[in-house]
Amino acid sequence: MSTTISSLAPMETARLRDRFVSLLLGALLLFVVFRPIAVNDFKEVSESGPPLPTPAQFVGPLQTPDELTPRLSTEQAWINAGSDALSFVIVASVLFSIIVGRAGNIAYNTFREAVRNRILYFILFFSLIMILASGIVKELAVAEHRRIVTDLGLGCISFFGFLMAVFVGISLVYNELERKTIYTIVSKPVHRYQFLLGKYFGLLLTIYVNIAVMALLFFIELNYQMMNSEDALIKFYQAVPVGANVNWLRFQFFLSTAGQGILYGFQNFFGFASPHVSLNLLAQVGMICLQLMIITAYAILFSSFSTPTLSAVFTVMTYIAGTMAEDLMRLARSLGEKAMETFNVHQISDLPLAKQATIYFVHFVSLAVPNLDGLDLSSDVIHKELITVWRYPILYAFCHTGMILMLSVWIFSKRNFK
Amino acid sequence: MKVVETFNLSKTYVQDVLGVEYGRLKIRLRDRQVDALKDLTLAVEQGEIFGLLGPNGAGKTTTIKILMGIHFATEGQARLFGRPLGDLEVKRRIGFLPENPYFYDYLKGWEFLEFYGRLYDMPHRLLRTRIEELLDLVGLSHAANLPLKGYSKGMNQRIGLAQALLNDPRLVILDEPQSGLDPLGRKEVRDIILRLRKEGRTVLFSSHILSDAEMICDRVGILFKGKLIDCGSMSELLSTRVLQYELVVEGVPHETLQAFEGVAESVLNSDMQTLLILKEETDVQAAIARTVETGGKIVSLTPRTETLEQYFIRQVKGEGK
Repeated sequence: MSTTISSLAPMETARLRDRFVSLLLGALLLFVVFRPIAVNDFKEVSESGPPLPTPAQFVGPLQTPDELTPRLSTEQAWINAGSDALSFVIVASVLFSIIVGRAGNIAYNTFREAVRNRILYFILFFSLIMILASGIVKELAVAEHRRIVTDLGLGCISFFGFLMAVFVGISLVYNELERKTIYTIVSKPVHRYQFLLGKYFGLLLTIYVNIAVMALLFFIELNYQMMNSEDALIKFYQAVPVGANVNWLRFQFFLSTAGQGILYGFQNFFGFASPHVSLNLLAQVGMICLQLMIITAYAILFSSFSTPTLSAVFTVMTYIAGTMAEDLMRLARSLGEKAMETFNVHQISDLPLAKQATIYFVHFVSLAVPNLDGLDLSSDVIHKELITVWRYPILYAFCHTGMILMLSVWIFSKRNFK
Repeated sequence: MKVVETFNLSKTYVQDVLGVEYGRLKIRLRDRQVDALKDLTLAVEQGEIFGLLGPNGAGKTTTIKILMGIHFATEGQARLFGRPLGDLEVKRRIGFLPENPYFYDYLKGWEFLEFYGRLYDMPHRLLRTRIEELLDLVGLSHAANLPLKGYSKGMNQRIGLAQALLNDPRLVILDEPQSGLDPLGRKEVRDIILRLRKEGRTVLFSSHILSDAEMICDRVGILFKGKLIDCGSMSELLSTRVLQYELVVEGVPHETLQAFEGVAESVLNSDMQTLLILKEETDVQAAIARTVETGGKIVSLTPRTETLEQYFIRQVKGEGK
């Protein structure tokens, strides 16, 4: 146990290890910054046959991957797949080294702190009430009951998850600084980035556990409501024999549907479709998790340098802007088209400078805000048989989170604590 | 070997737009500046108890914060164990107790120490015995399973001391370890500090309670308005010359006492005894002889040398001029 001062030799290896970790983080930063650009390059290069996109198309909304895929040649598809795999390996290894390391301890402690926080339970309680209440709300609609329950449930998961990220997340880092608990943490052999990432992952873990609880209840509720649909009830009452005890039979019917609902709910939760619910919902819950991953990173970023109130405002605004990201892209596009029509030119570069500046500014903003819109599948959940989750949105979520975390770590490692 | 070294360490606090101090981030407004520390150069040798003394706002805590990597120095350098600040291997050998510590109040005493121990990658079994030992040392064994929320100020200070000693540190840095403690608690902290030295550890602590510091420090550094105004061992700093003698006598006739009044600095009468404060050794001898002659009794004779407090006042006043 006792360390003597003369045993300084292991320091060098420890230093090397730290260097290696920071090198890895740096490489990751470069990778996440240039990766999306590289993807775009592949796209451009591959278009030897069809004409290059005009600037108007360039500022258009993000092309969906199914529009892109046919243009890629086999080799390029392989290159893309390879680089995707590489990026996932890098992200996974960094995450692994963090989670098994000291940041893991801090993450666990953060989780413990959040779990012992009363606000969390209020939020969870209200979300569960809301999800259960969707069964009552659906009666207000004439048709599309399934849609109402689904929308309400998914909306709840997304909204209350967001509330957790803001209200629990922002106070977590600030409290450490305000109460000066950070002082003793800094004096331990812990890098500041490990501390911040530990906080982030602990918070994310808390949010994901709560989302899992909400999702499970939502799946159960949805299955139950589907089995208790109007048609099913009509059939039930038609089948009741004359003179039988209707209330008792109705109670039996309730018990059996509730039981099946719970069973099917768990089935959905673990990734199997049930007769009433497709896997689309699980995909959307996964997408909500990705959205919250980005938003939590923003919460950590803002709270790493600002007060809780300001951070909350910033985070909420980022969230709102993020949900409108694709609208902003469309705005940039229609601005461009309209201007080109008015000035009777064919290229954006021929427009007056002020117009160009406006268009590119809107385009820049639409790219700078986190594209939560692109991570939202809720409109497809009902209308498509089985939605396909593309890897680009997922990759985008990881890259954006990575960049925001890098920025927070950079700020956090340079600042004085109060 | 020098355990702590600082070279021309300076710290200027600047408030920026958001009211937050950003340290190495250079977002600054030049007007609201406070020089908390100016050109501090000092060294702490291995195995000694070094006291960083000074009035409030002298820069004691700032120095410690810079050493612990909580704040970044504006200028100058510091080394711990001959290595630059922020080195993780150095942090493994340091224990730190901040001023008025406050810890995760949702944790129980045991959980708290366990969490901190894990940050040192301590093996589980070792950590367990270590926590038991430490809780015993600081006298908190009974509160191990209570949440920190219910701890009193003194208990907080003790658990803070326990966390500072978790890793068997070679250097212990304590910021105002005795503030907020009752006399008994202060004595216990003092005993723990002395024990740490006995175990061969180096202790650097800051305090404005001079009498406590005087009792235990090997060397002290006196800070005033961000400057180191003096640094050295107790015997170097305090003049060994006797300032005055305090003589307590009993049963001396009234007339004799009146005669003393001409010689002594002051004469204080209580029920039976009389306190004479004398400047010169010859006066003392004469007074003793006189007392014995008149049938009085000598109760005590105490030579008074300069206390740290007197020295401190002298220094600070001199600095003020």
